[in-house]
Amino acid sequence: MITVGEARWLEVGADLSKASTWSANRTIKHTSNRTIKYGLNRTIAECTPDRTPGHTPNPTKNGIADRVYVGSDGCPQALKDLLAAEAWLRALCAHKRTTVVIPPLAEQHLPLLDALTGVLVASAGESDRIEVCCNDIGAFARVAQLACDCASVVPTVGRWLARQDTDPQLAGLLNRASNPARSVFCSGAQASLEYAPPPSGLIEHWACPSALEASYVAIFRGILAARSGRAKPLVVEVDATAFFPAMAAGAARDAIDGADITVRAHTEGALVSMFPCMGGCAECPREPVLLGADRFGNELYRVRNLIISPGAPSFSADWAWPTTGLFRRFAKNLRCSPSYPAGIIPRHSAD
Amino acid sequence: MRFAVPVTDPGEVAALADSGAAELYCGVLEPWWERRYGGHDSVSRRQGLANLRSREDLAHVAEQARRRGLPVYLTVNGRYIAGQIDYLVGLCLDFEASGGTGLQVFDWGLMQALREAGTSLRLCLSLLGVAANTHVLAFYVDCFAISRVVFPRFLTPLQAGQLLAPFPGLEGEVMVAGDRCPLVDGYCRFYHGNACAEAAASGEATCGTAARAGRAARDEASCGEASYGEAASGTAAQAGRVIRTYDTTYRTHSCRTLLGSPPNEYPCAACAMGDLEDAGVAYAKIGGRGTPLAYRLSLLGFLRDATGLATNEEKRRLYHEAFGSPCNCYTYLRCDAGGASSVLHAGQGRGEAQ
Repeated sequence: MITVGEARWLEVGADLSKASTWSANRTIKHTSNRTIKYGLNRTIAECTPDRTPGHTPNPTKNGIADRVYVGSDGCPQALKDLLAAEAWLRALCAHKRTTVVIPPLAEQHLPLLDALTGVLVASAGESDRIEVCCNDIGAFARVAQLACDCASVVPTVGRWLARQDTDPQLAGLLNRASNPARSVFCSGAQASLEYAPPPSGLIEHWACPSALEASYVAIFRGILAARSGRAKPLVVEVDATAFFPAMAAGAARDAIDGADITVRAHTEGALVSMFPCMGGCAECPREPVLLGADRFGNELYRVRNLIISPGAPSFSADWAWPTTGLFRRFAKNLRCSPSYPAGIIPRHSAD
Repeated sequence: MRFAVPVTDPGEVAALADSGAAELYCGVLEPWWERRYGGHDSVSRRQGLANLRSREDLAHVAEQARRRGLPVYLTVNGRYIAGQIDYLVGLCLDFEASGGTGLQVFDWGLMQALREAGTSLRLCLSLLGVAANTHVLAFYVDCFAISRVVFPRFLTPLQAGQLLAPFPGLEGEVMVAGDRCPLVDGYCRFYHGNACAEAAASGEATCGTAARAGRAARDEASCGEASYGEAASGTAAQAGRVIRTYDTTYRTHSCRTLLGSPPNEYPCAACAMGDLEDAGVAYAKIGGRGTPLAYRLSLLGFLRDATGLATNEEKRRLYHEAFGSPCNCYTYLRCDAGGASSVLHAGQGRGEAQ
């Protein structure tokens, strides 16, 4: 199944006495009739690692966060911060469904991972499911092993581990208006570059994170089963790029096959790139700093050691889905799924 | 250390072998693939002119290398979708039949499919696999029996040695020249388009594409049109001088625009090679697939000569003589950190500081 949740990103040390009223600090993506619908009620779970200028959190009407995120997708210092706030973390896990986000780890960080997992396992008795969002396969396997006897602590697939194309430029390549004809010089003669939609195979590639490929799903499941001793749910975190609807349909394909995958899409703060952490925290901005804009006008920010794209893309009405065949194939499958709403399929491609 | 050098044309094998290459690596970008997925690197991080253009060329490279006793690795990297795997398995098996040695790869689906196909090719976890801790390495060793790993560039020699220690027989490889990006390769999703045709002629291109573009400009057969996806290999573009592409405005990588370009084209980690070797890293990779042969030969010659020098000062002097500029260290393997031993200690310090 594809689940929809509401999330809030927390700073370590936030006042837990207000936990029951925490709103989801996310922007809801409503869609118009002219464009692709996200499906599944009205929202996709999302969260943002830091507030990004120009993207003020916009809670829903009933937007009480049903899951909170702590940690970082890039900064190992977050592990130390969490361990230093062990009592707070345990209390948080007791109050709310919690996802602890672990950055990709270097060897020297592994003891921190072990210690943190130990804290979470010890907290599990008084908690609902605690998720440890892992951004490298080593951490995923290690958490599965350490929490093998604890049903409440589950390693999940983080956005780096999910491997996905997130450069916002890719959305621009779907749009004819963003690609005007251009004269070039080639082999001693003038030529003209004129727009043609990307090939369907390429669009399909852009739409599919590796983690939702069958081979990857099987390996994640194998690790969860082998090291945990029992079946644990597979949770995959992704970024909601312009290609997200197709991605969601891909996850639905797995659902039809009987798989149980929870896909969480972050619609703010898509991860685009990362600087290695060399321990010089003074060099990393704690608040998002605008790096500039790409040729299509997409702003990119640096926060800590991450480069992020702040917002979910708009879905252009003239993009290339009807040419792909991807939706047609998934649409066929989706009709077999009574639990899956047809609204996720673009009207013009559900033929 | 043994130098692994990129090859982009069968005719280059002899020169590279004669100049001290211990092994070769290459990519392949066939027109069939390019029509479907384009010539940029958002698929597989294998980009346009950095690759051989056919399996015939690949077989020719393997044959030329075999005659000279050089292993050859095919760089296939990863992040493929299911519909791409069959083609890639066929490509890899053809490479094996031609005498190829192994693959630079990180894609789980592809490695699994190759295992099921019964390949004997050696598997080398590519730079994009980001093997930065022993749990990651254990996964790839246990699941896919990799025999070599290319470590991410931010690891120090000490850290690389720590990762190799629990895995007897696992070979280590580190990038030591020719490619210097400040970001973590395996966690970078910036779209890298191809050098455009006009750049090939005008020298406008930057960020490592200049060399490729220059090569294209000299090679009338390619003229850069192959960079433009579906229409690239068609004849219509040639006849009507219209090139159809979904990317008409690409000029350079947006990461270069945002972060700036490296100071020069000859980055290196020559001063760290001794420590890397002491740490058990036996292979030194020269980056820059698709750069002109002369560029790769100059880096290879410099590294070969630098290996015999005792001090970093001598290496810096040699660098200046070779390239006519002050040395350009890899960001995390700097020669001015105070000498070889300080590279180790600096690495420890950085690690502990986190």
